[in-house]
Amino acid sequence: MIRIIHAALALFFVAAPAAASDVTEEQIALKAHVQFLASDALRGREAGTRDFDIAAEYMAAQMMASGLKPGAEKGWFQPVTLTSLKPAEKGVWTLTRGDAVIPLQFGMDFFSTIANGTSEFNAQGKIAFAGYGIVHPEGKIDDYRDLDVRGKIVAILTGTPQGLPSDVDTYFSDEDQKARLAAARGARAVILIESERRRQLYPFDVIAPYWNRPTESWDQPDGQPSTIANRAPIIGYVSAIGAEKLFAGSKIKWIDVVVAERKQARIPTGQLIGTLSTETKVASKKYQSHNIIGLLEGSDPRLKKEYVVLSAHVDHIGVGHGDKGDRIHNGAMDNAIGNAVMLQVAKAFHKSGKAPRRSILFLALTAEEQGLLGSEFFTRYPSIPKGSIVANINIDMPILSYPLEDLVVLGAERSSLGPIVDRVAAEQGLAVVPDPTPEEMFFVRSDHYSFVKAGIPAISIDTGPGGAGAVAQREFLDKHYHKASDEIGLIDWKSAERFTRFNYAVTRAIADADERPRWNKGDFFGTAFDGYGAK
Amino acid sequence: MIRALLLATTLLAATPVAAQDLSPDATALKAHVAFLASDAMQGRKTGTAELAIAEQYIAAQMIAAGLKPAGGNGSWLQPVPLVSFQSADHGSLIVKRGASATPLEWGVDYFARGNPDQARVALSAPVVFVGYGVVDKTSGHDDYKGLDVRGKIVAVIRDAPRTLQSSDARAHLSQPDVQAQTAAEKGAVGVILIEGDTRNRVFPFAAAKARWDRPSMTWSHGTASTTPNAPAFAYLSFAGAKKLFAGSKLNWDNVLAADRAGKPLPRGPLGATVDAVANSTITKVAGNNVVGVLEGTDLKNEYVAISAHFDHVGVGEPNEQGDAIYNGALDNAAGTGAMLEVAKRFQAEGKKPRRSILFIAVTAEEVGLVGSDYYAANPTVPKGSIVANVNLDMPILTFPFEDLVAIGADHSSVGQVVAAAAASEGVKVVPDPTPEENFFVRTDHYSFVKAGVPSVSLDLGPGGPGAAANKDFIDKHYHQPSDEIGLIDWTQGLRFVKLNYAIARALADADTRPVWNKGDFFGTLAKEPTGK
Repeated sequence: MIRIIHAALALFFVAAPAAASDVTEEQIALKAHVQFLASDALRGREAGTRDFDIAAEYMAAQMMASGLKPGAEKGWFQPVTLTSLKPAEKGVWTLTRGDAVIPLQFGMDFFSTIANGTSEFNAQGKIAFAGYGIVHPEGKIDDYRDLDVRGKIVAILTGTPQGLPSDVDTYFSDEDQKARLAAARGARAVILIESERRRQLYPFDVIAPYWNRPTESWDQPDGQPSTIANRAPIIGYVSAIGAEKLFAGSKIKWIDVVVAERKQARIPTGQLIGTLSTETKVASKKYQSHNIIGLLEGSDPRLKKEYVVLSAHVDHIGVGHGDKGDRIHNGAMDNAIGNAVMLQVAKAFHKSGKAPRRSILFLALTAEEQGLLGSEFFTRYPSIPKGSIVANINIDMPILSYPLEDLVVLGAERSSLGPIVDRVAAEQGLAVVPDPTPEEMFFVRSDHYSFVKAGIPAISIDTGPGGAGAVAQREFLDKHYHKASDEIGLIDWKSAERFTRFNYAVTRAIADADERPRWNKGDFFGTAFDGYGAK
Repeated sequence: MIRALLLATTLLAATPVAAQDLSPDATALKAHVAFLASDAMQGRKTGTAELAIAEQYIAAQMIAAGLKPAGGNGSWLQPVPLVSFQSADHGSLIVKRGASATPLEWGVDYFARGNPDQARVALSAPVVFVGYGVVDKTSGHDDYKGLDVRGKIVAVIRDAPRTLQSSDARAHLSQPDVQAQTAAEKGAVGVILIEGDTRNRVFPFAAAKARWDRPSMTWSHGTASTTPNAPAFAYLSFAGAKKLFAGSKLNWDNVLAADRAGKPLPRGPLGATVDAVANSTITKVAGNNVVGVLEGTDLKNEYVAISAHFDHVGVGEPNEQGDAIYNGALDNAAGTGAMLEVAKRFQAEGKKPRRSILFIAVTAEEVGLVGSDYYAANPTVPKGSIVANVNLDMPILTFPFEDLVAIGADHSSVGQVVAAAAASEGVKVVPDPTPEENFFVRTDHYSFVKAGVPSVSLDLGPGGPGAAANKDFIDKHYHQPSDEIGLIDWTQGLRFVKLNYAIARALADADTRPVWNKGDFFGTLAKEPTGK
């Protein structure tokens, strides 16, 4: 599970605040996987480290022992080259109006980012202000109406206006999606201006010191980082103070924008006066990792060409800084247990002696914690024919620290996977309940979202708030999430076993169903990403 | 399997398989080897982070096999106080006779030997030459007979008498550690080792000297040790021996001639005092044995120990293909995997064994059987309760095996149990075809032997294609980067697992515990039950 703050810093995501005894053989098997993957010896399995590579070898060996066949092009591993991108120096921005040069101070008025990840990215142009930069026809929102942004630098507010449907809100919480709208309209680059709402959460002063924190990216086959695809990249972040300078002399006054935001009125848009020249220099460092892929071939001559992908990221965040106490982030819950469950689902298929009708790919992902990179890479370059993936079931950090009563299945309400999930849950005496914390935006914070973006019906199965759940989950998130204390002792193995059984049954049901999963007609994400059945 | 050279015994030393659609059990074995022998594990060298990962892997697999932790204190891991030690400098060795003092020349006459417990050994004491320094109750050979060595330094030839019947016994008694232990028991304060005839031919002084500061590994008894201690602090060439003997009643040339002829050696005080210093650099190394137990039923207070070392030799010289990772697929990922699969088989069978079974993955084998030696000396179950050890080390699973060599089988009734269990699996047990390789003292069952436990180490035999395949592996892949997973025939791997399961089952369920053969040399080492 990636950090919301990480996302906020690196990509300017975010909108809303985040607020043993005798055991069965199955429990023992689950425990064994976690014991190994979350041992101190594996030092937190950070993508790009040898520790991760060893976890990968373990996953491959266990997939083998579960009767799977290698599912990557060559063997078990799908190589993923990752690039760490970092501003090489502070960006230089020059704002000119006629002969006047208006100085913009780095760290006060703005800071620069990695733009599109190339070593040098220069943008020069007039500035157009596009409000939140959102286009949502169903909601009659088009911030680009009557606004010519061709060849210009588009300034937009971070976040979203209040009152959007939550899926739309979630979708636009990814500023890159907004940058894509600007690119589609011919913009040269995007600068983000902190909204007041954002300032209350993560003030510019707090974020600015992290300006040169690296952004992780995966490489395209041509060796370029994937960020290169951003044709109108986000080149920097502007404070409210900087915004005043940008807006000075224009028809739109910055104060009008602020007032409109406060009143939740439509934000005025239009051209700003002056030309902005920017220079961005980026240093990059490449490193190697891989996804681990196991294949269980389907039995139905026709349906076996369709693939259900069961995924779980195997990476975690490694060893922390400092020199006192426990520095190893074991990631037992995040996501050693998810991998254990995935492996035991594979074993359950093996033991059942009955192959599923559709083929199943078991996918242990790298670099989730750096921003869902392994899954993005896989969905872009799958080891099987594109279009043959019919569903994704993702397991990421199921909080299994208490007796399980119900489940939250992110994405279930969006596709025909939902009814399957409900039926299986009912059979197993488990309730499926709505996400109790939509403000955490878990929907875009785990790997199934990469599948969603590829148009594939996807769910992420989490444990629910019922019984002791709400309290236990809060406690885990507050005390152990991304901390050295995320260790094996937290896990309730009985719950883990129940959870595994559920995952097996759901995977089995999806793989064996007569119909291929489809998005609900008109579903926002299904439509946005051109998914099967949405239109 | 450790190198003969490393152990330096005194006696003369020493095809890819087509893809198969494997059964689940064979695949499970393959998965262990795939992980343990992966390049990511960097050859599992003692003291490395990768070996610590291997420990965790094995512990996890033991959990999955339904074992209980038995490394002590509820843990799977038994910490082994490993130390790496080496000679820090040339030290000194002066022979004093009356008023004269003869300093021996380092590198020509002697070199100082490292010590794992004492950074500085400084001794000054009269010297007594005690032949091979061997005391053997079974043959009655006693090199200390009639000699008082209390408070003295003993000089010994680094060998054992050729008159000893058992080559295994000879290999054992010629170990410097054993010679030093005997000396300590007799009250000596130090030992000077002298190159003998055999040693001179196998590994001459000049070669030994070239390795003078090479690190060795062992486990530390710690400074609080109460056991008598007589460090073997120096190693003498023929030239050095001549200087040591000069002026005494004993003539070195006569001693050497008797050694060559295999005749009794003259012994006695040399009438000289040696002043010697040997300095060592000692470094602690982290390492653990991994131990799980499957509890038995009516005889559960007795333990059958199955062992396999999981360390290998790490990263080293690249081969012609540029591969520098010594994966150790056969040595001994395969043995470790087989041990884990034997444990799983007990779990799958559901019928508990009568005796408890200890599954011991031992560390630091390649550096001198150190993990097993520590375990045997510091068992995590009551001393004397381990009734047998079956050790799995480097089964050469590259061919359809027809027979089995059970090293050590001829010393105890374990041999008969093994033979019967193997017969039930259609496999004969045959004598060791290469006794000159001294496998008896080159693998971990020897540590248990020394602790008085009837033990065998199982290797695949020479029958059918075996002789050629074994030789091929030893010549081309043993301790080479090419000891990789592709060599293994998994059908044979599974047969090997089944065989070991049958053996473990037979040992654990037998009505009587195994006994040493009556009068067997090793049986007399410890006061364990012997046959009538």
